[in-house]
Amino acid sequence: MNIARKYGSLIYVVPAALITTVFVYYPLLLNFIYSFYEFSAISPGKVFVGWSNFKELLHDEAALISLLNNVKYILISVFFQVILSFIIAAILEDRFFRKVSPFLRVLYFVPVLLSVTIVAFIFQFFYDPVNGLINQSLAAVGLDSWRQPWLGSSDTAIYAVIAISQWQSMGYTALLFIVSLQTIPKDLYEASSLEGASKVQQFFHITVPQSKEIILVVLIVTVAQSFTVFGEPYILTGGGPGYSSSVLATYLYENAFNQDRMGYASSIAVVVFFLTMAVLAVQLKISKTGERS
Amino acid sequence: MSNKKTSINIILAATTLVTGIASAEDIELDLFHRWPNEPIRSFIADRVAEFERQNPGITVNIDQVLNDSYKDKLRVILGSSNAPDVFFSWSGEFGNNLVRNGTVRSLEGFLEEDQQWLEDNILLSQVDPFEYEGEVYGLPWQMNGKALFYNLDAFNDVGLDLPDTYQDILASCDTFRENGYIPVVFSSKEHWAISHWVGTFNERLVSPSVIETDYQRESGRFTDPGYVRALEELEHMVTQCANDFPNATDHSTERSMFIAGRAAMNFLEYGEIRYLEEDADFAWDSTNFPPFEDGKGNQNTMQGAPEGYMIAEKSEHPEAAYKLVKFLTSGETARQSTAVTGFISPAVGAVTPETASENQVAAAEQIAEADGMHLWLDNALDIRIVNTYMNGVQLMLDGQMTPSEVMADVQEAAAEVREVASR
Repeated sequence: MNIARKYGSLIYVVPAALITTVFVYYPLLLNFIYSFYEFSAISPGKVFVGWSNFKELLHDEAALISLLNNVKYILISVFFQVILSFIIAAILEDRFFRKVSPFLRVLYFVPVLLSVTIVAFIFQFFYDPVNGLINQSLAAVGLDSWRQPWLGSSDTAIYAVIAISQWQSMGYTALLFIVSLQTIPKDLYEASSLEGASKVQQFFHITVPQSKEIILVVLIVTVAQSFTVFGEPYILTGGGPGYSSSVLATYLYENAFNQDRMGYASSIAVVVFFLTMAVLAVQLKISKTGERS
Repeated sequence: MSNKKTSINIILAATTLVTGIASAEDIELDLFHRWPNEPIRSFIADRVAEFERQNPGITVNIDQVLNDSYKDKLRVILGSSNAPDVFFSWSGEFGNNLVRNGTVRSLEGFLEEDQQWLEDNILLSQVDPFEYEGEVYGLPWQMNGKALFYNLDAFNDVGLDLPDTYQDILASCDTFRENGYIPVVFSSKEHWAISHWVGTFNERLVSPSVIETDYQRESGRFTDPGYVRALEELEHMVTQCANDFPNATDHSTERSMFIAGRAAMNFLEYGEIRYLEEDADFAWDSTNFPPFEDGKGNQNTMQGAPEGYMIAEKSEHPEAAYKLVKFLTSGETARQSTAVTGFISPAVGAVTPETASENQVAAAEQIAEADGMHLWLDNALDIRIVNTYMNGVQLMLDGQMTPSEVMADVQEAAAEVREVASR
C-alpha cells in the first residue's frame, strides 16, 4: 500500500518522461555526438574530427552573418512583439476602446491563423520589384527613387523578411497580453484614478508591474523563436543574396541538406542550443521569475 | 454434407495457394522524380500505369518533389532505409556524388546483356555523362540544352540583325532600351539560373584544358584569369543589357517577361520551348549562345546535360527496377514524351516531325550541331564550390563584391574540396 502510494505517481510521470527522452533528449545527445564527426547523409561511415567543426565555425564568415541576422531578428522582434504589442494590448483594454476592441483584436489576430508558407508567398508579391504592391505604390505617389529590390538587395533583404514575422506574430502576443491584462484587478485603476494618476502613470505603475510574468514568457518565446526562425527567410530569400539574409537555421539547413555536411550542421545546432539556453538563463536570472511581488 | 465441406476446403486451400503464389511474386517498387507539375507528372503516372499493365505483379509507388527540394530530399532518403528503387538524377557531379557514396547500383551487369537494345534505342553520347570510373550508373530520358532565344518581332521592330557574337549582343542593348525593350532579361535569385550564365561564359573564355582540370574535385584551383574575365563580362552585360533588380527576380518571372514580349533576348532551356509555343504572341527563334570574339575557350559547345534515372543500391528488386528504367527510357516512351512534356528525348529517332514540334526538332538539331555539351555548372562542380561561386555572383551583382573577390572565395572553396577529395 505504501509502495503503491510512494511510486504510484510515477505512472503519470514515466510516459511523458519516456516520450521526452526518446524524442527530445536522445536526438539532442546524438546531435552533440554528431558535431564531432564529419559525414554526409548518404555516406556509409562517419569520420571523427574532434573540435574541428567548431574551430571552422569560429572563422566562418557566413555563420557570423547568420548569427548577426538572428540578433537583428531578436532586437526587432522584442521591440514589436513585446514592447509595441504590449502597448497595443493596453490600449485595446482601455475603456475608451472597449467598443472597437473586439473587432481590432480579431483584425490583429487574423495573420496568426495563416501558415508561414502562405504569408511568405503573399509577401513575395508585395515585395516584387516590378509588379509588387510596395514599389507600385511608391511609384504612384512619385517616389520612384525609393523603389527597392526589397528581397534582392543585401541592404534590405533581412529587414524585409523580419518585417513579415512582426506582421504575423504581433496579433498573437497582443492576445496573450490582453488575456493577462484582463486579470488585473480593476480597483487598482479606480483607486489610482481617484488619486489623480494619468493613463501613462497607470500604465507604468500598475499595468507593467502586474504583467511581469506574461511579459517574461512572451520575451522568452520571442527570443527563442528569433533564434530558431527558418520558414520566412528560407521561403522568401533562401538566405540570399549571398548570405545577407541567412540566419543560423537556414545556414544549418544549407550545410546539412544542400552541402551535405551533417557534422558541421550539427555543430551549428549545438551553438544555437547553447545560445538559446544562455539567453533564457539570463532572462530568468534578471526577471527572478516565480517571485511574484 | 461431407462432400460439400470437402469442396469448400479444397476451394479455400486452392485460394490460399494461389494467393500465396501471387504474393510471393508481387513486387513493389518506389519511383521518385522531380516533376510534381503538369503535364509531366501525369505523363509519368500514365507511363507507369502502362508499365504495371505490361508487368503483372509489379506495383510502382510514385513520389515527386520539385527541383531544389528534390536534391535535398533525395540525398537524405538515399541514406535512409526507405531509399526509392528508381529515382531521377542529373548526370555529372550530382550523380557522381551519389555513386561515390555507394548509393547507386551500377547498370553494367544489365547493359552487358542489353547492349544491342541500348545502341538501338538511346544516343550513346547521352549515356556517357552517366558513366563514373568506367561504369554506367544511369540511363537518360531527356537531353536538355541552354540556348539564346530571340524575340524576332523586337529585332524587326528596332531594325537590328540577330547577333553573331557576344559583342554584337552588347552593341545592340542601347538600341533596344531606347525602343522600350529589355535587351536581355535576366534573373539571379536562384543559384542554378546564375550558374548557367557563368558556366557558359567560363566555357567561352577559359581554355578547355584548364576547365577540365579545375572542374575536377581533386585538382580544381580556378586561378586562370579567364574566370575573373567571365564574371566581369557577366557584370557588364547585366549592367548594360539586363532588367532592374535581377537578384529579386526568379527564373519563372524572367521567362514570363520574355513571353510577354517585353524583352528581346532570353537564355532558356530547350525544355521551356512548350511555354513559348503556348503563350508567346511573337515570332521567335533560338541559337546556341554566340561566341566571344576573343575567347580562349570552346566557342561552339552548348551547356546542358542528359537527365535520367538510376537504381538505388539498396533496392531489393534491382531486376524489376531495371525493367522500369528501361521502360521509362525506351523509344516508345520517348516518342510520346517529346510531344507531351516538351522534353527533347535522347532516344534514337524520337524527335521527328511526326512526334515533335518544328521548334523541338530544331532544338535537337542545334544540340547535334554543337561541338559537344558541357555540363550545367551547378552539376559539374562540387556543391561547396557552387554555393560559394553563386553567392559571390549574387553579391557581385548587388555591388558588394568584385569579380576578383568572388574568384578568391571560389579558390578557397576549391582548396577545401581538394583537401576533402584527397582523404
